[in-house]
Amino acid sequence: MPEMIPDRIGLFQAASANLALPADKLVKVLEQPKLFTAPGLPVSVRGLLLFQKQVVPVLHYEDPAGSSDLDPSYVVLCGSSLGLVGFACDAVRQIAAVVDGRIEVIGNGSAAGAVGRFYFQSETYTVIDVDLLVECLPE
Amino acid sequence: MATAEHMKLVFRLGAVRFSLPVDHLVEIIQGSAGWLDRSRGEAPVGCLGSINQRDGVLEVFDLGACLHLSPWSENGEMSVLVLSGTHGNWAVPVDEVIGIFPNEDFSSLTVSPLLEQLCPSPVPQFELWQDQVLVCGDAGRWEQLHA
Repeated sequence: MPEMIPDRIGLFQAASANLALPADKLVKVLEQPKLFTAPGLPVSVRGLLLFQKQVVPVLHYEDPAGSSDLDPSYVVLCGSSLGLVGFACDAVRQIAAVVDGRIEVIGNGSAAGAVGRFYFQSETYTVIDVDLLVECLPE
Repeated sequence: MATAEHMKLVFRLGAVRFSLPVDHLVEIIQGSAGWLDRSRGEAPVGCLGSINQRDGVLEVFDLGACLHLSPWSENGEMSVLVLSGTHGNWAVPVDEVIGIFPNEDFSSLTVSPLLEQLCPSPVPQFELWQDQVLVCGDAGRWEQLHA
């Protein structure tokens, strides 16, 4: 298995894409968190979240013009090389072992931070390398 | 008793709540949009017009538009913050003046390194007040947006 594909992944359903996030990067899943906004946020940021006295960006993933509803059903907080980052999602599926599904590694030119596709129980999930994603987000 | 230099104003502009040290503030005036004189031909960027105040004229700027938030919309009554600036006083209408509170009611918050990287300089700073996150305001920095 390629190094960038983790052994276990958290599976989440979002409007723009089903996301598979490395289990070892998951920090917390927050249900119906209250987001807020501020001047000067880039389009990649859907809103901001307060977590343990830190202001954390919650990203639009692949859908900068996405939902105008600021408060998502869930926010998945992940650790990254640049600190905490949040992903908005509509449903939390499960933590799965990669060996229980089929993984397909994808190369350059794919969506930001996407390193693979994970086929699991009739669904397709985009596998995100969180560190890769945060390093290539536009300012 | 808290003195002015130890107090902060809390106000709302659209969906965003701000704090502002009271020593950046000259006064708060209540009025109506009809006060605005829009007759000046070549107004600076973001200038909504001017208002006469005592012996002088104050330029009124749309802070929301300057900060790329929702532009100010006229709805009759308005609260106007008169701010001190390097080129004299200037003014901004706001949607709600929430109040003036002592500094000890506010606690500063840290910002994720990712947010620092994503936001153009200056990165917004935040503080917590009564369980609400406020954006820290700076009249001097805002003045540069239309100077």
